[in-house]
Amino acid sequence: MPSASPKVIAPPTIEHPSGVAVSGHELVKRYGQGSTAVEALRGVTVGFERGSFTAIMGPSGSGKSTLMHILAGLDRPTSGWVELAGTRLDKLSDRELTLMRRHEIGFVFQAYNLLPVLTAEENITLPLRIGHEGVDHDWLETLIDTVHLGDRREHRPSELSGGEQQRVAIARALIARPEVVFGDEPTGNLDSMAGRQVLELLRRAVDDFGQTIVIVTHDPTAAAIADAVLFLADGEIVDRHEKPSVDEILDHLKELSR
Amino acid sequence: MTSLALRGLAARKLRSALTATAILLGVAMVAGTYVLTDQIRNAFDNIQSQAVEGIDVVISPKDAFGSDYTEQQTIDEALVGKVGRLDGVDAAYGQVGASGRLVVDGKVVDTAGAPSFVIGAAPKRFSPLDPVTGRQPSATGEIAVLEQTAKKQHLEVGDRVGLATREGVKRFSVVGVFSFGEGGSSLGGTSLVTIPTTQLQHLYGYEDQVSSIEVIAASGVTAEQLVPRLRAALPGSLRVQTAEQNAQENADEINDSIGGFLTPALLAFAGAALLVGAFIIFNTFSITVAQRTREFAVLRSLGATRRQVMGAMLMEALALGAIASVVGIAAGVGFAKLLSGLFDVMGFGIPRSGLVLELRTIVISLAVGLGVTSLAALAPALRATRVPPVAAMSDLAPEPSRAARRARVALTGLTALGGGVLLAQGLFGSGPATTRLAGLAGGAVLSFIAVALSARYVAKPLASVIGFPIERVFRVPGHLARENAMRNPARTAITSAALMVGVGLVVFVAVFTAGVKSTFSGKMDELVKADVFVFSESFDPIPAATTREVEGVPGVAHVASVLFDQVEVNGEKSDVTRDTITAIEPDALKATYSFDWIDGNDSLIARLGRNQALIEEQFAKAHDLDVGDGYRVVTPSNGRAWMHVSGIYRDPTILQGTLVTPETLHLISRAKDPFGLFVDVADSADPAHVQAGIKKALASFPTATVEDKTGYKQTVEEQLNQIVYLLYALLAMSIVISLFGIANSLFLSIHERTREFGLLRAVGATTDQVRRVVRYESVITAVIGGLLGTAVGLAFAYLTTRALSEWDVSFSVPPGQLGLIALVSVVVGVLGAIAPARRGARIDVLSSIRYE
Repeated sequence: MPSASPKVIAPPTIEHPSGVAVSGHELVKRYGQGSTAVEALRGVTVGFERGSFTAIMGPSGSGKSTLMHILAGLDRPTSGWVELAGTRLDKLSDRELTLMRRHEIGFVFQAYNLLPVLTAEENITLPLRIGHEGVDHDWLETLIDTVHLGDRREHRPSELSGGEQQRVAIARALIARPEVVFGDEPTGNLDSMAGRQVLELLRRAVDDFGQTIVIVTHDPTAAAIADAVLFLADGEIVDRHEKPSVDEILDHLKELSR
Repeated sequence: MTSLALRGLAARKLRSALTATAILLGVAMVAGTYVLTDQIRNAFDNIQSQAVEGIDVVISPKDAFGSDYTEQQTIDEALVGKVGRLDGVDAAYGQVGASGRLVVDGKVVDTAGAPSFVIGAAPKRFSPLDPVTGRQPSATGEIAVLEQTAKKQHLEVGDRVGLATREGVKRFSVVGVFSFGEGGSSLGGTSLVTIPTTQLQHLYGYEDQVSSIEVIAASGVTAEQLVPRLRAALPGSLRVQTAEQNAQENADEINDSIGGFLTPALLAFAGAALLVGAFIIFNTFSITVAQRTREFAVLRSLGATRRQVMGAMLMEALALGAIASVVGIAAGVGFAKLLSGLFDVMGFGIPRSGLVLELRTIVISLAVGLGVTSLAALAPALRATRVPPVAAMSDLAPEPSRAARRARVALTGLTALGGGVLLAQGLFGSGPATTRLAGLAGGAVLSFIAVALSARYVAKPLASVIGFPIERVFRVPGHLARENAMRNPARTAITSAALMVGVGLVVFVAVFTAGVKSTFSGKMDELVKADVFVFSESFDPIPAATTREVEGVPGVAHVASVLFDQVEVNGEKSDVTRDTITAIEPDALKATYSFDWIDGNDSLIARLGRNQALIEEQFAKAHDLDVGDGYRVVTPSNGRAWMHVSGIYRDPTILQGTLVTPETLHLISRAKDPFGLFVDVADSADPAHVQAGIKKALASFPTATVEDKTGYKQTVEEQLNQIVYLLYALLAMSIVISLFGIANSLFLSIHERTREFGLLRAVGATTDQVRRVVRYESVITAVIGGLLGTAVGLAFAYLTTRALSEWDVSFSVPPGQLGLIALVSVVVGVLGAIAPARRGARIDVLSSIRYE
């Protein structure tokens, strides 16, 4: 890592011995004011262990996307705070938060969001090149190998299938070895076959590389591959299941929407 | 990030090309202006230095101040012999030159505005002319002709030609054809002939006089050594210079008078084109930023800083600007050629050398291209940095915050205020002309920007109103076009603003010149009682002998021969339109002109004595003079007099400055030929008949044109039209650029609405209907631009005429021309839509259902 971001290398806050990668504390998010105010989050406290794979589920409007945006530093909570890689995000300036995203956070989007003018390989290395950082070629090769894109690396996104694009996006999220990778409906745009491949990849990232992953999803199959599933309703965490099966998840969701 | 920016450009080739074109054409105008004016400068430098080749020292008369009107001063020919005998002088020669047009086959040779020179045939060692065939004339009635002129007129040794002189057309026989200087330089359309010096002096009124004395130093004496010796021996009224100095000074003088006007004038038009280009860059980048919100959000979420996003956008702009500038400089060479051709067609036969591409031209063009592009891209680039990373996960476009909206309103207000202040200062202020002009230019630019910024608030209702008839006539395509034009008012506004600039300036020129014309026409009717007018088409003086000829025509009652010179008043810098002195015989003046008196009456005319003047209101104001006051005048030929004010009249259009008797004028001025004759026809005679008689009497003066009042007015208006057409041609560039802007904006909108267009096709719209949707939206946008431009142009013209109220310029709107401009707007809309409409119609039905 470059010397340009000492705060990220040596955060001023105390290192968590517990091995929590990211945690939210008393998170409240309120939209609007007065009588029309809507509370998207009503005091959520949650932590995600290093090397864990968590899925956040819940009906529309439950606040799951808001929670992820706040955890990832894309949105600021009305009150409460987030600690990521041992750094309190609410204490950071816009620039520091940007550097945080560059080094400690990876994203996988529903719509892949690859840059159309770059090749697959260039898209993967983009986070490093934004920071003018050298590419660890062994790591790059490992990733390209893992996501099975060896023969596609020179292709532009328009020449790739949806599944291939999302695999590129996963490699991109992993290239900087971030503390956490957040996924926003990573299988939402994919058919079941491609979706499964993507989920397996995420699973391998956790198992083989010790990556922490948090995804928001509607898809029970996607959630079932996680170590734990958090259920949100009306801005609160209502339940947490370790290693649930698809059927358990479906049952629980039915309960929640009742 | 840099490569990302560059690749983005490459990936969007069409858009980049169209955007680059917008700025390229402006840069081409800047580069072309410098290329052309450098070519002209080089040509005059060459001509002047070649004219004195082999000569060491030039002796010329000294002017009190420079004037474009005054008859050239001369030197007593006796001095030539004296100089020749001075110590250190090998030989001296008295050079005589005059203006005289060739007459071939009974027709005056048209030089397309370039001068027609007659010079005395000089001995070989003093002559810059090299024989091609034949020899230089030596006997009366012999003439030699410049090679180019001979070729054009198919003249050969042995042919007979006529030459227009002060004594009428004289016949000559061609004894030689010569060339001037070496290849590379050209005299433009200039016609040049030589005749024997003594005959020239006789025919052009220079008996015993020469224009200048050329001196060749004795061997061993340098020009620099000879100059002080000659100065000591000659009267102080003469200027003694080395030939080099003289050539440089002459060239500089010509270049200052041409370049000093031409360069800023052409650059002003380039500025208008660049402003249009800037609007287009701004618009394209704004739309692009909106369309690439997702991309910026992704970059931000991957850890790109705001500064990096800003940098990437500016890098794109700079790369675009650089490409456009480089191509623009190349195109500038073409533009210089185009402009040269235009000048030739318009009748300014200015000589030019071969291509000159100075480093200065390249540097300025690059700086302008890069500067304008990055400046225009600044605001959109800033907006790109405001895209939050969370936008990568949602389709929500960030709404501009209230603060941003307020800032925009404030910016619009400030720009408008700044523009207004600068315009007011330029129009009504009292500073020197250059600062006022700069104020006007700056004010105009700011006003255009202010209108463009505020246009977003009126674009929607305007689009609705303009679209209404289109919707009624063209049904569904018209309806969709109207809705599309209304749905993003900010974009429609800026797109139309690009056209607004060109249209605004055209309307301004049209309305302003219509005012000038109607003022001139009105003043002619009100003040001038003459029935017939004799003048030269180029408004040069006509031979004095014409007066006698016209007076002899039956039915002619009075002939007012208008003699004219420029003066310096009380030592103040002379103003070319105001500080003038005009002499007309009192009887003739009374018969041909009716005074609008401020202080005085008609009885003053007959009583006007020596050194007494009737002065025009503006002259009186400028020099703070009242009846009974005195003032000092100096003419360029060093004539000095103390004048008395007898009366004050008002006429800022026809007889400006001051009026005196010919007797007074001759005391101080060398003017011998009138600029025109105002003829009063006797009441008993038929004016048309008398006019025909005058024409016949002046048959041997082919440069003199004879017209009645209507014809005279028309001729003057046509002269004005020539300039107006040139202005239109230069402004056409701005309108062409805005065409690219409209096309570009439409392409971007279509790209955005791919799914909509696909859907249209899916529900059964024909390709023609899709094309029409695009075309009508384009027309609506263009007409908005036309309307805004017309409004701005009218406002500018109105303000200008108000500011020039002292010149009595009226505000008159030419409805025909405005209608034509409206039509041009529609045409621009239709043309701009051709390519985008085709693109829109090609959209696949499937794209409406495909995701991403």
